[in-house]
Amino acid sequence: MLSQIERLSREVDGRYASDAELTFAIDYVRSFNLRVQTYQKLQEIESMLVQQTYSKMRTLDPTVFDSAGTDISAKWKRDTLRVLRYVAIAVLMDDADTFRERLLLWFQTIMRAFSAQRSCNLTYQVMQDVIKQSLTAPQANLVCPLLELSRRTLGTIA
Amino acid sequence: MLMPVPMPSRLMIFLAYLISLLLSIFLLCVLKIMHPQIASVFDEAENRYLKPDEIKLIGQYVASMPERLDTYRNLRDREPEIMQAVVDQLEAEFPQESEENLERCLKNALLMLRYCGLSLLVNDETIVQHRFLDWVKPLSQAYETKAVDSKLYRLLNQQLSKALSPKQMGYLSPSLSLAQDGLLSQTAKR
Amino acid sequence: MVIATELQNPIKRKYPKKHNHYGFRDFFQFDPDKGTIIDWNEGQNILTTEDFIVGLVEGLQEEVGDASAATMYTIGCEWGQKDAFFFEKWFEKEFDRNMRQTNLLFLLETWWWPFTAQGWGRWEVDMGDRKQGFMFVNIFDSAVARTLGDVGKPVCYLYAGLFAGFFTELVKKQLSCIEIQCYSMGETYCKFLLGGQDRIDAAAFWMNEGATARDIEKRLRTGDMLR
Repeated sequence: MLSQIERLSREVDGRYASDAELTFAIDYVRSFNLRVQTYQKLQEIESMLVQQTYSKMRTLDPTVFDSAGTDISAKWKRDTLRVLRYVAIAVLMDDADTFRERLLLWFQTIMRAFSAQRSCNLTYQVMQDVIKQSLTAPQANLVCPLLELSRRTLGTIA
Repeated sequence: MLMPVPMPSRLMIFLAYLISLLLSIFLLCVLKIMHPQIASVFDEAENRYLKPDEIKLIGQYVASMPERLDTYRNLRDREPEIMQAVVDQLEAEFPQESEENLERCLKNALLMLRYCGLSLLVNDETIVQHRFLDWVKPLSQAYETKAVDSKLYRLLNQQLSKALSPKQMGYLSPSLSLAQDGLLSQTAKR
Repeated sequence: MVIATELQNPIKRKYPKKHNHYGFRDFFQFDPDKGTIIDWNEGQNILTTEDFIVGLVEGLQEEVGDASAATMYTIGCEWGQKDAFFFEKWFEKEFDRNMRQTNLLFLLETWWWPFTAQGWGRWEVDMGDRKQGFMFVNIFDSAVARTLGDVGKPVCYLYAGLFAGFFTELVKKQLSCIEIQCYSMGETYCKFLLGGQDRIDAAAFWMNEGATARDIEKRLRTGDMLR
């Protein structure tokens, strides 16, 4: 919503917005309570989410936390937590665009520099499964698209 | 490009054209959206979650949104009739005033109304300051439009009170007062 | 680059080590009172439109004719060279680390990010042939090419010079750069070759003969050289 308001503010300079241009605001009002609920739930279970994702990934592919002989689990946890917190705020604000602009696009280049795409691909795939098990369906439907966006942005080798 | 709202008289059509021309120049001004605290929610994202009172602030804005939307749409839909009444009365009040001067004042009033509309919609009065007052005020001082503006605003506010409900006027008034007081005050540039 | 004396950016003041600061409103600090745009690294910026680029290109063409390409390349080189010093300072300040003791790809991505934020386009570095003494850079949404449109010839001399100047400083070896594929030639992105002068000359010759970027890549990798 934030970036939509900003875009609207720019586009209606000197004129009024049409009803079509205002529908995003109505949609946001309708979804607000669910978003707050989801945001607070994510806050509550964030450690568990990261830990469960970690354990599942370890089971699926233990080599993913090994980077040329170094264990990068700690680094992975920090990076993953960062993305998850951005996902949470993006859920609350219904703002994937700001999430992309202020984190994902930059992070994509960093992950590419460190050849971490495979790890990211798995992380945000597995995390979607963990989310579906930990949140209600409506809540998960808010979160998973952003995790999928993360997976596609960070996990794909260009 | 901007789409002017259809106007009832040829004067208004001309104004709309002028507005779109002028505004394309100012499109790169500072854009501040919403209450500054809400706009900064992403700043702290990776460090912490929002505190309950921060979420409450967003909630307050969201709760007020339906009424803000109604106010905005009402203002938008009734602007032509509001402005036409103002134009007619203003022309009658200032028969000696040049058409050019009246056009200038009316053009600015139209802009003022639209920026106030946007301001109430996104709950951000800095829009009125930075996107309107900052450049219109020096212009109006240069053209010495105070007498006309003063009467114009009185007429405009009368029309607005007829068109909008008291509650809706409550949403519009803060930015409207800010704009009108700002333009009518004699203080030099800060 | 002008250095602002007062740190205006509120986000930087609060989080000076925030590395993901390339969002438009994070990176640039607009001061309407002073009329300035200061970026995260305290460089002063100006906003321009495509008219500026057209003016620059056509103006140079009018002044020096065919030498305009070489002129823009030279401008780019000087820019790249100066930017290398500017970059070293802000990189070391931000990461508390010497530029040369950093993962190379990470260093390069960090160097290019301000350019992306400024609108110069996104890039991709291909260091795969580094040991052979050359490398490729892809640019997506080149500001110059996008502005000029399909004109049937490469136009990104400024970029080529920028890369030559910067990488020469970085590796402390004389490098040149040539654009071997351009959006202004109908391609979807621009491709640059960086390397020693002999390699660049070879590529230029092959291009004159009608070779595509792909041909040039192949020939370089199989060791074809101009005798």
